[in-house]
Amino acid sequence: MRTLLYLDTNIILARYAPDEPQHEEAKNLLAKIEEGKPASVTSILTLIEVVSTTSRAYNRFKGEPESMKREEVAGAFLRRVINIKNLDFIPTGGEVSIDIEEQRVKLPALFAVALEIGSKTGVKTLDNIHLASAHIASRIYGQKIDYFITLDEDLLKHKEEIKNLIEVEIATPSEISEMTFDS
Amino acid sequence: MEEVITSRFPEELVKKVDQAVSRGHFRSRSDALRAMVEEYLTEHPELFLGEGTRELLTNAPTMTDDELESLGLRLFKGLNVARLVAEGRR
Repeated sequence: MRTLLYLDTNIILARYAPDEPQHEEAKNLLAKIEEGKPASVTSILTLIEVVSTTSRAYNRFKGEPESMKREEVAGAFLRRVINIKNLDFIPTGGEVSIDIEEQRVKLPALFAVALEIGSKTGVKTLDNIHLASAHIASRIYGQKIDYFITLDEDLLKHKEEIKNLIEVEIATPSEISEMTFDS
Repeated sequence: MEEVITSRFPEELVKKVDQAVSRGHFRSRSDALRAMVEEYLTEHPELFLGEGTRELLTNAPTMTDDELESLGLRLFKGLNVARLVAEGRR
């Protein structure tokens, strides 16, 4: 079966950040993905994080004479990420109703899963959304994820706990750099 | 300012609109169609979302990986990208 990776936002941005410690590994991984081995998915949250992270980094960049506008920088990265070959975006899923006594709360399935995961892991709020996306991909859309690739220190610290919870291995690009992927 | 729009409707739909008018729910066909369009547009705000995103992408330059890497070198200079993303999650 084709190997499927979940890419965290930091992997995609590390590919375009030459000073990042695992830049080369991230670059090689993205190149392999675009060649079709392995396949990859990510959350739609990644798109928002790419824009917000590049936009925040822009504060240090705008002083240069040849600088681009903030929106142009964020938009250029967003455009590229959307066009990464063999990277699919996991939708939020349908609406789920939660009834508690007289109250009914409607929320996207992604948030419902994130609520559940959040109560069990203690990781950051948006980390939960990424984990929930991976969980939804496996459970709802039938795309069993082999590895959740991240550079997030918090997620790496909780890797065993997360593996037990959503049945996905957490790894860094360097940890899988020597791996041969099935096509 | 008002604008006249010519539109084709299936016979069944026209019959239903006329029925609603004859029963006094609306003053005229125009009044009925205007009310229905207004109600639909109010109930579907998603139709107007995403314009900003489309504009962002339309105005964004198309850059090669090498160009983005060169931009990233300056943009993320002295920053740890993984930590920058993590900070945004707090």
